[in-house]
Amino acid sequence: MLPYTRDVYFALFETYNAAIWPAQIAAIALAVLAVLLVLRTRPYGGRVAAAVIAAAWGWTGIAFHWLTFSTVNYLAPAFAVLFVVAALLFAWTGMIRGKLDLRFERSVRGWSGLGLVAAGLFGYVLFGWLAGSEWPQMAFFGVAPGPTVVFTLGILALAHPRVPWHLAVIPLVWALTGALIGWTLDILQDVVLLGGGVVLFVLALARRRN
Amino acid sequence: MKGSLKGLTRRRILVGGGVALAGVYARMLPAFAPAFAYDTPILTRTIPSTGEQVPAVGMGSWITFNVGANETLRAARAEVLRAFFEAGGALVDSSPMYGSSEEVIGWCLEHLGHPPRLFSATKVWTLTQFMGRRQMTASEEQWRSGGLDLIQIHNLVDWEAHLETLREWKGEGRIRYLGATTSHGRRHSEMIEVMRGNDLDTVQFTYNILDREAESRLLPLAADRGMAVIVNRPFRRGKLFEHVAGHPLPEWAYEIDCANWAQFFLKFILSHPTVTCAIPATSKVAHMRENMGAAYGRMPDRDLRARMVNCVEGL
Repeated sequence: MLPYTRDVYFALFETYNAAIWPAQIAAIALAVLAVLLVLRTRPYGGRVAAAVIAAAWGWTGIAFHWLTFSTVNYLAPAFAVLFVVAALLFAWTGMIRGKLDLRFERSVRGWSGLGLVAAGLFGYVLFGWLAGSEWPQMAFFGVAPGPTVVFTLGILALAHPRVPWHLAVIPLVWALTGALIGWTLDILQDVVLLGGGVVLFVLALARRRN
Repeated sequence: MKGSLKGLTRRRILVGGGVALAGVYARMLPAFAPAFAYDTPILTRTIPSTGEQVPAVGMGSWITFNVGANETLRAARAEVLRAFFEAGGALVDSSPMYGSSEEVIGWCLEHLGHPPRLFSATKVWTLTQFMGRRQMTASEEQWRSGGLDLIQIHNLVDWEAHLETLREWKGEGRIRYLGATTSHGRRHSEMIEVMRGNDLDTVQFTYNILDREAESRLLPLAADRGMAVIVNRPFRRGKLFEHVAGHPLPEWAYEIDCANWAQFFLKFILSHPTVTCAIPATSKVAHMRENMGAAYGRMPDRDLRARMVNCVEGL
């Protein structure tokens, strides 16, 4: 049982979004730039995408989980650690070592990855709006866990030749955690996380078998 | 947010499923009558270690007061607390585990001008004596009430270390009472050992009309050791309302001045002679008034208690 209610959760987002504005726009702009670089198969596309993801996970871990969410959830500091670890893994593997090779292929896997990326950047917000949220209550890529995880899963689905599992573990774990929280609080858009995680999982397994 | 997957709440259960109950209720009470409008004084119980009397219905704060910094939600909780004190309540229970609850309670108390009747009860919930001291000091500041009446060791976490601190603080007059808690069905054996070997002023555990394990060992031991009993999860975290959804309150419940199921469940608990105080939690003023109504009027005797159990188990 969660120690807070749905109303409190959205009130938290209202305060948080107002405090960090316009960081949401900056995060989405950087992510769009990274995706364009990946789609145009620029050699440094993987490094830029990894840097954007590392920054997004680091920000979300510290600004959201550690400084904001921890006021209502005693588990939030542990979530913060998890997010910072993910940020460090992306920074080390993708940004510093350049081991995240991203390619868009016109295949089920490629389109699924791109779909998840779009869902993280825009679809998540749209879904929230359709479910009745107004902007201050919405979760945005780069500053909130849900869309950041969906975007990350989409990018990982584009990894070549296979999904780097050490980078995928934490996003998958959070996808399940976020979906459970979303289910408990009746937050429809968060339940979508589970679908995203499962899609990546299935695609990655299929790629390994090939 | 309007999208919903389940949307099953206590209010919806009561409103949607309790048509018959509403009809009976409407005949029994004038419209908008407060749920505690009785001529009798509020039921109080004695804390055995000092003889101090406390009202038998207190207030829990798990989830309900964890509203963060949002002032609109805080103001709404202040009204809940106002209704609690207006109805004669005193004991407010919280914990550092409940997120922002302690700080929100402190904000509400200040907003209400520090009601003098407050009996502040919180917990220590961390490892090591050092961290425990820090946490309890933080709680004192968050409550803004000039000191805490009772600190309990939450779920017996590192209880030996914290008990030493609590004894020291009680000796200094920094707190008035010390105690220990456990939640539903967990660590009862360890709780019994702690109760047998230590002088606690209060113990807190789960007891309700469907969870009656405490009757066999914990309640008799508390009576034997002269410990006040604070009862948590009196509504089984709301599950009792789901259990009785769609069923009207039995006619004979009015013999003990029950106007709703909340009072039915609470009067069952309060009629146990060893229970000192039950601490239901709510974020609604109307529910607070219903809860507080349980501390007024007639209480069930042994036979009626058995009938209450049969009634609820049979639904």
